[in-house]
Amino acid sequence: MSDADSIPPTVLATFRAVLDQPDLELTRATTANDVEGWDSLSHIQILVALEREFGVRFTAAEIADLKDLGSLCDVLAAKSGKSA
Amino acid sequence: MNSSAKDQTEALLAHIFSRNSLQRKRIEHFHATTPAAREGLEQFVSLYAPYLATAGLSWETVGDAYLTMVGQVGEARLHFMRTGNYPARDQTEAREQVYDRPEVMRPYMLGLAVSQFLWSHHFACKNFFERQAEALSSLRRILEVGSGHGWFTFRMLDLCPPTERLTVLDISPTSLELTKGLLRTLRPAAVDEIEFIEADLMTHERPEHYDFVVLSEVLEHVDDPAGTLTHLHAQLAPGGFLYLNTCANCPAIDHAYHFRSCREISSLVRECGYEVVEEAYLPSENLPPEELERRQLDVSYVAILRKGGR
Repeated sequence: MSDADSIPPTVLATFRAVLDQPDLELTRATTANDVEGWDSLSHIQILVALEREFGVRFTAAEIADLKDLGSLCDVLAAKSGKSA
Repeated sequence: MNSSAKDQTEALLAHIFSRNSLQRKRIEHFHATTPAAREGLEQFVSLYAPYLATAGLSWETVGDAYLTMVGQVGEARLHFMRTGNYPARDQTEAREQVYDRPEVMRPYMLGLAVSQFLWSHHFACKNFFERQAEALSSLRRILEVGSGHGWFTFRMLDLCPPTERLTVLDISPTSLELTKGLLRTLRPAAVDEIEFIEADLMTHERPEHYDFVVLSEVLEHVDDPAGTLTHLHAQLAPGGFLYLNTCANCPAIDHAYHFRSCREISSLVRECGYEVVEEAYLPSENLPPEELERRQLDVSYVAILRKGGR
């Protein structure tokens, strides 16, 4: 996996914890269809955990637009100023 | 179903799926397990297309409106999980933020209209309503409170047309405009016979007047659900029916009253003098009732209620 494809460790850890899948692997191209258990219900739990971790709040427009995991990381990076 | 409706349905879904992979997963699963919902969506698309054309709207616009609504519900759910409260403090704030703002209300209603065929509990609510409406007959006067996107109004004209008058009352001018627009296209002969009233329900008084009142997705929008139910009880003729659709633990941008459970709603309607003819708890997720309540997940309450005395 190249750096451009990699997911920040904090995001990966959050997905693994919420979905209870310690060995889960993710890339920026990962979509909900690729991950067992990543559904609209667990997604809200993931967003709550990411909000706490990064000190941000998601808006409606950001929640509506979720092509893949990369788009979520881009939103996090833009909001937090961290490399997400 | 003509190929055009099929193509338009596929284009609508493709538009949604390309922008939100979670919605793709959810909707594909729902349609795979409930083919009637997918067929219903195609019928909806077929019927709705002439209205969209008249209104100068595209299916892409409807898809975007749906996704906007999904985002708004998601943001409201996040607020609810952080604070335990719905985002709107009361019905006045909901009115200011949503009902009185066409740029918010219009896409919100378009999104809700199509959600009837994309969300399992909204589809179940729609089916419950249609089954109940079809079973009612000899209705002279009907009152629909909060017509929203207008789809239920349209369906009533087919399923239980009143012999005397259908009154549609809504606090939102945008809702009335959407409902009138839909009916002008789909049932032009009927629209001029309908009485449209822009008002707060609590100011509308016709004691013992209506045989059937439709209160769909309204009760969670008011500050005083008991007062609303009692007010409507007085407007019903003896033996009249009320269709109720509301929800527990269902944060949204314009929901003001937080019901903690469907049992709470079921108790309330009885306390307000109604007999429950039939009721159902329709969950947004396929989980056991205790788990839904523990996690405070959205459950719709639908019922056909009766005022005693006939």
